Amino acid sequence: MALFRRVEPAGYEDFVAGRYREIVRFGALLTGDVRLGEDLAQEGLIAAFRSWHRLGVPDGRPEAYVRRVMVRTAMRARRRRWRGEVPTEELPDASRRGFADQSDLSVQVFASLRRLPVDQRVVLVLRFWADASEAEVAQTLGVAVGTVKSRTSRALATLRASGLIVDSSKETS
Amino acid sequence: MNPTQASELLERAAASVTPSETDPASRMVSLGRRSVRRRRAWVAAGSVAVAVVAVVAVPLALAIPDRLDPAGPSTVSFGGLSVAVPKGWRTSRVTTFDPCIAESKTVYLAARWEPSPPSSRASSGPAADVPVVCKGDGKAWMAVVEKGVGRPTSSPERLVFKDGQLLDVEQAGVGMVSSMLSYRAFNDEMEATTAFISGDESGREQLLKRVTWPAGPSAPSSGGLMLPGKITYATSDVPPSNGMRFATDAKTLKQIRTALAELRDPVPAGEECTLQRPGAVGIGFDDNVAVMLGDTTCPQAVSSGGGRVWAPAGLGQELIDLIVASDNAASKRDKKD
Repeated sequence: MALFRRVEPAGYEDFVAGRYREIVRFGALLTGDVRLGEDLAQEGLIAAFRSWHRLGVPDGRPEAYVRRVMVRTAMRARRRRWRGEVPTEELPDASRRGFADQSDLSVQVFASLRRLPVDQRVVLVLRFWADASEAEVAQTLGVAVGTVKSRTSRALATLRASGLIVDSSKETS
Repeated sequence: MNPTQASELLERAAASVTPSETDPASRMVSLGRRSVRRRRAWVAAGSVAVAVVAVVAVPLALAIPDRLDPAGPSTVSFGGLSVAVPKGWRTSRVTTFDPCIAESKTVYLAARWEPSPPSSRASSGPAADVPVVCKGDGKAWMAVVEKGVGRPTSSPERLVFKDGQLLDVEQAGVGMVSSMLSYRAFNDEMEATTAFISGDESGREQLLKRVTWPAGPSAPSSGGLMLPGKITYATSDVPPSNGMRFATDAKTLKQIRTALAELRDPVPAGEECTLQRPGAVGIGFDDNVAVMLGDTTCPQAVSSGGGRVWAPAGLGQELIDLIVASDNAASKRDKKD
């Protein structure tokens, strides 16, 4: 019998196995890139591993924690450029960049997301993919609700300009 | 905007993502362990360093995460702001300020702020309708946070003038700490020092008087309002939807610039009034310069870059109408194309 048994964080592996795909998807939208999104997801999950003693309990809400770490990391990347990557206007080579199973529309969406400044991209994803209210996004990012509104409007204007969405009302409810 | 379209696009793009990691659970446990080992190594190295410092008895002031001063100094300076601490109040220095757990009669000094996330909200999917209770709500306290609320919108809800500085006033804790307002300089700094003040209205006003800001930008030497050298767009949140509208055509921009440049009558010290929406309107320009114009209750115009002048009460709305007309024309052109 081993004298020292490696203590596994109970529930962590199940959490990763069950939520990994969705968390990577969140990361992909936050960065506008599948590979970078997976890196971002892993950063969040590593942070969760370190804090699992308090996250792996009932009501520990590990996914919320992971997402918060990912958002912060993505925002920090604004200042230090995400691992030296530079957003590009060029569409990626589908066969080499993990876009093999992506439709043309998805590729266009990711390309448009990459063209957005990260603060606008993050707000867009939180508002329209994570279903967060303007107040919740403001709280998450530590900015004013008005800032969330303006970033949302600018992000949508860019998507509109790219022809991805058709604007009829220009409302930002 | 069409939120449904945006949601559908993002959902479709997300659905197309397939992670490259085939066994993420094992991989993440492995990476997690490695990360913990690295962190422990750093902590051990740090412990050695602390021990060395202790041995040589260098009076090194280490950061104290939560320092409480029950007596409370009479005045504290933090993040460029100065606060006259009320008698009987205490000061508390924290790394991260959470308004949800703030205690009465306390002045918090913090590097940043992070409200507790609503515990009722699911991390994804529909949120539960369970109200969130914050014990800091409704109590009298104050916090000065170095990295406070973000850059204000070009159309702030309320601008007050204090200590020669324009302050953007917001309800930053909407839905959680309704008694709290945030006050930060109306400038283009991304994360300016912010005073968060909680209490009833008169209590907040009394506490605000105890905070001193450094003076804001002075008026241009040539007089009038500071405007960007080159204006390529003008934008505003337009009621009732508060959607952001843009003017980019040269003719409209020239009209707006001319109208603002003609405002030359400076507001004397002591006659500044509070610009507040609805009524007042804000217009954003290049270089993060914003100009706010008041209605009959405060017929003045201010620029975030400096300058406060008297302005005709209806001018703000006239300029907004120009922006909306320009935006509508651009939309029509887009649709034709």
